Amino acid sequence: MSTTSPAAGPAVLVAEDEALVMMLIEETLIDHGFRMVGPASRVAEALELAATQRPDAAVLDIHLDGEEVFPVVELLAAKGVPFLFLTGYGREGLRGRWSEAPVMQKPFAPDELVRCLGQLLAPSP
Amino acid sequence: MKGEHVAGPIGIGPGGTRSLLLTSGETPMILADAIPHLVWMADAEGSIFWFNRRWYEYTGTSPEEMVGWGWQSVHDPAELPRVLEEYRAGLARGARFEMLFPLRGADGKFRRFLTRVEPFLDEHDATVRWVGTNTDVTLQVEAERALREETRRLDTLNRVAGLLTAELDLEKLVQAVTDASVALAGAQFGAFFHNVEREGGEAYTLYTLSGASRDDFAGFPMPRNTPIFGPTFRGERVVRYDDVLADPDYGTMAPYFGLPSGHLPVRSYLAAPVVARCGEVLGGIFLAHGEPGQFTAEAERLIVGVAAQAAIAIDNARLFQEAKRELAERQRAEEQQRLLLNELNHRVKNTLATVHSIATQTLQTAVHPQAFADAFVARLLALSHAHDLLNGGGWQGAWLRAVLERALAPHGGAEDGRLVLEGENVWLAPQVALAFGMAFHELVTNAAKYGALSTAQGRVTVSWRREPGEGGAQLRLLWVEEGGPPVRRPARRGFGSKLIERGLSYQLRGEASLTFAPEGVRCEVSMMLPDAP
Repeated sequence: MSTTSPAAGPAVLVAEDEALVMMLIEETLIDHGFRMVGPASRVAEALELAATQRPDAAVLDIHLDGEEVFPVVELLAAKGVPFLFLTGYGREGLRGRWSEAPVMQKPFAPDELVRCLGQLLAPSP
Repeated sequence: MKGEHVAGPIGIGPGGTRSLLLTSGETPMILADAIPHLVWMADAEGSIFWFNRRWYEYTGTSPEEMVGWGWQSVHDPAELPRVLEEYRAGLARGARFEMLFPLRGADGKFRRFLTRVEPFLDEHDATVRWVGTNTDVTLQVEAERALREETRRLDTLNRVAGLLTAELDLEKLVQAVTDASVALAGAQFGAFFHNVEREGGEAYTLYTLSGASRDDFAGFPMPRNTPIFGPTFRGERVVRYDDVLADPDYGTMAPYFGLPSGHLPVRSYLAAPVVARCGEVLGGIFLAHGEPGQFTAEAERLIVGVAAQAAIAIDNARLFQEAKRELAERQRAEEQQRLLLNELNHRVKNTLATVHSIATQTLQTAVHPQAFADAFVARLLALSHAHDLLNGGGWQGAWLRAVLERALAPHGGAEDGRLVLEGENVWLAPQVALAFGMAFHELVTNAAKYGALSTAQGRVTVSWRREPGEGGAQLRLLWVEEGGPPVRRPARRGFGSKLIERGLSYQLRGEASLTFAPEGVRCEVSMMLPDAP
């Protein structure tokens, strides 16, 4: 992070269908110098954002309005965008090739979210 | 030489023994006539020149007819070639041999004889005579055949029993029962009808057929509780008719008065009920033959045996299937429970995340700890009340009016005329209902503290309606406060404003705006409704 200006910080795509949870994520991101891309409350919206924007990372709920977020994950992975799942199911909600992906359980500690995002954004050794 | 023998049987008349002094040559002749066997003598070449009296009595022939090779006329023409072949082969071998063949009696009926042919030799060991003894073995042959038949049936019955007890698939089982019954009784076709009482009817479901196809029965109704079928379906007894057409009970019932035309022909009829251990009549085995008199008492006994085996096997198969069903049901229930627990855990975690968000944001605007505690608890209760409402409806959703009433209840509700609710029935999805519940809580709390409900004259009107819109029905809701103190725009945006303008609009995927007009606070909400009734 070279700047604290919200507009210039790393862009984080947020997919979360619970308004109050989205608001907490948004606040956490803004307070820590990130820029929020979205938010998306549906898979179609998240796909659109993932396709048209170039986020630096993504925070994804697994179930969006009754749909699973995995198509979005496929697209992000293909574009090399790091992501983490933020879900009430915890790791048990993950399946198949994503079962080892980074995951945070709701409710979450904002500091922990920031720390995880920092790890995602750190250049690979 | 031949004539000498043929002409002179020295016999025993019906009147008694002729008292004679017999020459040494005559004695064998008397013996030959006295025994119950047919005896004959042939020359070295096999040409028969003498038969005993019993032969003539049995065959009803005369010596003239029998001379030479005339004996062939009392043989079965179908078997004669074989007999001749065996006879010639035996003669050629020159040693004692046996043959088995039928001979026609004076009554025209054939009986089977075992014939033993013995050579008599001269001092140079050359055959000079052949002597044959034919023994009637009809009874033995019959008994053997019957025994073989009985053994075959017992074998079949045992095999069926083994098959049935091993079979747990009900459909295959019933097919095996039907097939075995047809085979054992010698029926042309057979069926297993399931005993199913339909409402108000006596219809029975066709289950399995053997020796006939379903097409043969298509178009005919199921057998009904007629005098002929009744005893089987009631599990009373086995029914056997040599000729069903000759039975006085046949054809006494409408609408067919007998077999419907086009039905497979049935004259011989045999049916046995299949009754479970508990007494329940599972169904019946029905066998038919187009010719009368085809089913014997023996067949009846066998079918009763099969029916008993079938009852046990069907009982077992049913128990097995029930057990399997129960097991599957239990597994499904466990899976269901696991999913429910998972879902519950998910919901709890999400709710905690929501509460976390409420706490964080309440803290941002609270001026001191007590204010935080009051506001936070009030919001927690608002969330909890909305949950109660959804819980009452199994989390399927809630009516908008009910959400409003629940949120406004702590402030007098709609009864005192200061809160007016006007709108048709609108059903809200669970998350939407929760968001509305929280938003109304903020609005009514604000109204009670600073707005229309803070004075005796003020009032709040909430009105909503469904409007046709682009891409479906829209909900338009208006919260209007009036009669309160003049409204001042708050210096900073509070949690309520944020919750409505940011949170509610996001959750609804619609618009939610808050206006602090001097005459009273207004809130406008619009959202798409998923399906307009």
